[in-house]
Amino acid sequence: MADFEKILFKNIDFPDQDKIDIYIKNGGYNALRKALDSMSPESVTEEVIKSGLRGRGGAGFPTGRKWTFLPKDSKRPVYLTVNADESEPGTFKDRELIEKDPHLVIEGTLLAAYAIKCGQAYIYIRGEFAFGARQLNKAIEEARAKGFLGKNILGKGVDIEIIVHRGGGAYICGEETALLTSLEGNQGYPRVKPPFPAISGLYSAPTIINNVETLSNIPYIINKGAEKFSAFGTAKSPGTKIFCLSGHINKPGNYELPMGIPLRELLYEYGGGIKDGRNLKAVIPGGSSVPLLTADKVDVRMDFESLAEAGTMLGSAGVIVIDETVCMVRAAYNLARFYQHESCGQCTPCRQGTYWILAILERIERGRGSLKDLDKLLEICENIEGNTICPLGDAATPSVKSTIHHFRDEYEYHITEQKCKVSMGPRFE
Amino acid sequence: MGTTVNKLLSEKSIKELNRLKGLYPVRKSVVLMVLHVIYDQFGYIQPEALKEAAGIMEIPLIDFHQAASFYTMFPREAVGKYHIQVCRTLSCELRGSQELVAFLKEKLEIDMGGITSDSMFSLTEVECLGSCGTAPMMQINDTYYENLTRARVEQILDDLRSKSGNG
Amino acid sequence: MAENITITVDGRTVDVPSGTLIIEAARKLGIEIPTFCYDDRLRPVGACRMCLVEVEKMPKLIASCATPVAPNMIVHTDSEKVVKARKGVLEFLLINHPLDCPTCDKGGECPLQDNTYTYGPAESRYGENKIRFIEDSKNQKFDDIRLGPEIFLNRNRCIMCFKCVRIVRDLAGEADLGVFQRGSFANINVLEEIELDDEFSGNTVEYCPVGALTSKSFRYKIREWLLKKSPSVCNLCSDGCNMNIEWSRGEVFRHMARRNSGVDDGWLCDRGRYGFDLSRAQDRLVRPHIRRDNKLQACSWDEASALLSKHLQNIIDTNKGSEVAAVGSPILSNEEAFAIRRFFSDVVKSENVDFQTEYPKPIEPELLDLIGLDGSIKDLESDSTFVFIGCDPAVEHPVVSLRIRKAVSTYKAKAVFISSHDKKLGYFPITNIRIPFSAEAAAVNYLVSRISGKTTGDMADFKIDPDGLNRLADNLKNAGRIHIIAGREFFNHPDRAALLVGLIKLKKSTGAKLSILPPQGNFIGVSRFGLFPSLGHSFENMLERIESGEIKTMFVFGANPIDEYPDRKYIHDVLKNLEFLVVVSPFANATASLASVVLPQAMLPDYGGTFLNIEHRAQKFTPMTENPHSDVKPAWAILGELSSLLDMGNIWYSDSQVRKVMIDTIKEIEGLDNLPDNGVVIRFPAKDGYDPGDVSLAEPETPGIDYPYIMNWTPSAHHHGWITEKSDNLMRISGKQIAWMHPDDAAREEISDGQVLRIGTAETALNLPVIITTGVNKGEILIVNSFSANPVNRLLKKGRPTTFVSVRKS
Ligand SMILES: Cc1cc2nc3c(=O)[nH]c(=O)nc-3n(C[C@H](O)[C@H](O)[C@H](O)COP(=O)(O)O)c2cc1C
Ligand code: SF4
Ligand code: SF4
Ligand code: FES
Ligand code: FES
Repeated sequence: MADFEKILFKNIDFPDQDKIDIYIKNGGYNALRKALDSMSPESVTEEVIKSGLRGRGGAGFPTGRKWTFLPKDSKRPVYLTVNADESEPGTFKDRELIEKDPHLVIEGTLLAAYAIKCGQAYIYIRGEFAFGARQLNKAIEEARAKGFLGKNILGKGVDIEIIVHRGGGAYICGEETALLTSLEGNQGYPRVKPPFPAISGLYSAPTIINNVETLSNIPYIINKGAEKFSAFGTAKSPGTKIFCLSGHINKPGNYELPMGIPLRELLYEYGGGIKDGRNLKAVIPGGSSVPLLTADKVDVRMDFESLAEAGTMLGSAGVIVIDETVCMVRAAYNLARFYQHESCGQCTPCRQGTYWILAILERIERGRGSLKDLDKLLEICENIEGNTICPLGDAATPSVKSTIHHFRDEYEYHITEQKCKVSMGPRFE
Repeated sequence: MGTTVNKLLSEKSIKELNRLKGLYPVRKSVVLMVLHVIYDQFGYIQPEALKEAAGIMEIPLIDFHQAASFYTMFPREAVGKYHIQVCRTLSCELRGSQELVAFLKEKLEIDMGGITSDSMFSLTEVECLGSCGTAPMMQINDTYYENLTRARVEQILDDLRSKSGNG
Repeated sequence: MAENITITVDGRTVDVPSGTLIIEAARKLGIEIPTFCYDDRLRPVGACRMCLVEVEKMPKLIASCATPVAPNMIVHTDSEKVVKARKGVLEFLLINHPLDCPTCDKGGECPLQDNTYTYGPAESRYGENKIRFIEDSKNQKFDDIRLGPEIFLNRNRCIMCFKCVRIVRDLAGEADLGVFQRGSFANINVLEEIELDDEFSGNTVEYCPVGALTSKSFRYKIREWLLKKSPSVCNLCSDGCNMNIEWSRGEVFRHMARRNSGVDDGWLCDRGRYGFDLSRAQDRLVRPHIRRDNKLQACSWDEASALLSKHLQNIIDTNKGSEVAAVGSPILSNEEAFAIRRFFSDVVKSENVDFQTEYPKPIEPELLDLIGLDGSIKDLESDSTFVFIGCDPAVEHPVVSLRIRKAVSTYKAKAVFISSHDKKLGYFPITNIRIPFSAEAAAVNYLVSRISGKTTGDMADFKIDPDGLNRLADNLKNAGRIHIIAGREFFNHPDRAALLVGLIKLKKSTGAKLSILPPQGNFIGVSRFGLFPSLGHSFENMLERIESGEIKTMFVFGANPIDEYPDRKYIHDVLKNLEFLVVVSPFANATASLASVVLPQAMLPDYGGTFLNIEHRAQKFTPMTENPHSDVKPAWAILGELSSLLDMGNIWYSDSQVRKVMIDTIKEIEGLDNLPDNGVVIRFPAKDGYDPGDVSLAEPETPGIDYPYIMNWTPSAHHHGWITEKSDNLMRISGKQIAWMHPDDAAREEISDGQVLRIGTAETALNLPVIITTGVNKGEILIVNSFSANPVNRLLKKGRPTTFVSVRKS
């Protein structure tokens, strides 16, 4: 791959990077200082628009553009909520940022808050990340002590507070409107849009929601300028991206690489190849909610456009590697169980549909399936898709549909022979 | 509106509740944070303590119960001193979470959802904990244990047993 | 904001205000979109997905119930995609549904059944196990949870439309129903320790789109399609909610809302809803009785009428009309009130007519004009500051309080209550300013002085802590749309004249609306149409005349002075002096037990007529057309018959006939002739500029050592007055009479929560369980009234503004 500079993970393994002195020594808070010294909120937004940065939470929406949807001169306070709910199976990038370089997250948050004229930001972190929450709170106190956060930041008359709000174990709270409902003290029920959060979000006030990784790019963009940032990656998907490798890969973990890197390179050069030298069967490239790619598609490039062309999505860039020994019925069952467990239960198709899908897959797993079940599954998926309040419904179907589509023979075998076509050997050493 | 005497909540918890009281523009936002306070003190959502907390926060009790039953990380009944939660989602399953579970069951001599007779350990399965790159993994109370192997699990259980024996 | 938006629905265009939901725009064109979770009065949730429509240029189907129109939208409500999606939704809804329609109470009025029939798939492909909610492991087949005294829930039938929780939480602001767990296991339930028994709980049953929620009083009793409906108006408070009385073969099965958007907006409170069993109560009086051998014995109407006409004939012949008095009550209809007045003044030649049996002092005639709601019920939603003085809207005006709740919860209005004990509007944020018992007049005068910048008198005498009042005064100086509302405690107030002066001044100094709201049913109607003692003696004066022997005969219609009058011993002793007491009543009661003649009175739904509610809206109620109680009669029928026996004209056979005479007599009420379904607001000309002048404040009384507590009382939301005690349903819901006391007092007396106390004086006392709460003042015992076993008026003393009691464990 062409050379590139690490934007997010540059100092991730630097000893004591989570301490403010080290963070500052490594250039930290310069961007904040620069923005407050010499840039108006509008020009920060402008720079982010120019950078072409797109949301890293899954949908890839242009970040700067999103900020401009806020009403001008809102009489209500404007809120920023940082999405640190990271619960998409296969995804574990925000956690590493938060735990190891919390000041980067805080600085990004402060810059975004400054740009959108927000005085109160919330970081909504999934409840299980107790250590992450402690790291963030510690960073906030350190930043406050140094005058980077709180009242009259760096003497520039800007006030920004950050509260770390802990979730309680609900994947759905990663969905932006569910996150807001949850932050308001309710069950994490997504809301019907419109109104969009930028108009009526937290406490019905204008609200911006951004992912942790998204915001962690901002200090670099402000420090080095939009052009420098967009020099990496592709024209439509600029910058670098953290790819989370998991599953049957020799070197699982997070890899920051430019957008558009070929999947093959990611798996075989960075990931060290398929575990124990077995053959690749499939890759889920963007977290469990996107359709899988079969092994023959490993030359696809990892950016929003290329993956869309290949019939899947970049999503959260959680790359789940599945080798030849995996029964795809079992894999589909595993994820169906996840979505059934995580549906908030608000709307009919998702609440009932995820339950029905799971029930059928479980029956097939138990060897009690019928061939008619496969079309039935596809029709249930069709009746869910597009008919729900939030995208969780749509997220629950790709694993079912793409496994049936590409591995129908495994399903059929399972149904007629009442066992897995392939079987996975012991993996726990 | 009765008068409640606080009997169960620790001073630390009460202090934290009072801090939370004024933290958000809308009081109800504290609901999850209050559940964390209770969970931190008791390891589960102790119903009587929750009642006390609801009284302090002046928020209807039902709001906390609704949340506690929606958000799955809060056990609603007492669990072991060390509450083991094994991730069962795809990346972990690909790396052997089912066998990890079987191993734990065997070691602890309990079933899924069970508590050891000495109340030391309890075992459940959970969905993806955002640690897929270090699968298989489990969470014990607040702490993640990653890249698990049989040997490591045995070590962890032994350490916890002896820590608790000494302390 | 007001600009209109044009959209196209199924090829036809419609112009609607911006903000209109697609479903409402379609409805305007007569295009019905099927729904489950939609209710135009509740916050849209878009949960059921039944109302999905296709909008051109939108990638997905959208929920028409939750999406506002946008310019040039082209909507299809019946496209292939929509039809398929609906089928899908219905199939999903049915997979976990028990399909136990034959035994389900919703049968016949079930949107799930109806929508499935019209839009659903022909057959279900579901072959898996259904989720089964089971109350407890040893429970029967069906989940059937008791949520409260009246309401049961079968979660297996529930389709999670969230209507019930939105009604309870968002509309009423109560916190006794919730959603637990999530996903396919999400379910509605209550907490173990808190029952669903708020004053609006029955609405959840009515609006549940399936048979998940049922009422104990209705379930398994009858199929819906066998019920006949008589449009009616509730008279258990003065709000005048519209309802249908649903009955079959003379038996009443339930009350259901009949939406009048100006009044109830389709809600009923539980008092009105579940009080349906009153008219068919076991001990309903259905035959006339006359006293023979010092015992009331059943007789025929002929016998009773003969006795009465003989008695009256004698009075008429001897010109002794002034020896006769008539007492009505706010449960009477306008027509009854009018007929009573007519009969006594024309036939008997007595002007001694009144209905104020509950008050220590009769209402000043000038006050009459001030009674009622200032503005309309709907207007309440747009008021921005409410000041309640001696009024507990949740208890006295449940359904109208929903407008106030909406103002508070949705439009962030402020509600401030000045009282000696805390009031609530569910959990909605309100302010209670606590003052000592009966210090309202002092508090209001203080507010007036403070607002007008005059020196404020010393509050020390009245033991008022001025902080809350100061804050309120400062707020009132800058607030817009202030509404001052006085209620029951105003009418019962020992220093009512001074309080009224204060309220009028407060209104003037703040530019506020002022409403004085009587809580009882047709109070305004009966006072306007004949029962106000404008010429003759008020009830209070009647009592003196009875004592002195000037009044010897009394007719009582619907009232029960012995339970109502604020001195039980006195009223009992006085009424015993009467030579001839006639009690017309739907039930035997304490007063009737003294009577010479007791006549069975018609009540809802035995007869028809009209009521006036708090906004002076005349509304019609109609009788059921089959009635086994053929012997019960409204007052006008009884009096018309007597007239006929006495040969005196004024012979009335129907309510409409009485109404015709009324309209001829009172010109403001033309509208009464042909009342539309939603009634007509009658505008009585107000006598302007009533200025009661200055009144000095009564000195507060201080308790002595023997009786250190002030006794105060309140009605309950489900039960007020002597009649509702006859409803088994209402007694089941709130049948427990209790007292409240302050924790400091409880500590001093070494009393614990729930203990039964003897509250009273050496002579007499009530025995009640006590609840300890900071919601009442120190030194005050607050008691729920209207229970015949422990009548509060046993402790009250005529002429004494304050009742002091002692308290001890009994
Ligand atoms: C079911 C579901 C789960 C999601 N989970 C997350 C999450 O854990 N973290 C996240 O940043 N975004 C998540 N998203 C995406 C958010 O809704 C939202 O698009 C994102 O936070 C916006 O930030 P960005 O523009 O910076 O990407 C989720 C979306 C859905 C539908
Ligand atoms: S799609 Fe699923 S998660 Fe989203 S609102 Fe509907 S039920 Fe909830
Ligand atoms: S009980 Fe009835 S009203 Fe309540 S959510 Fe279920 S279906 Fe809707
Ligand atoms: S799948 Fe186990 S931590 Fe993500
Ligand atoms: S009626 Fe629109 S989603 Fe339920």
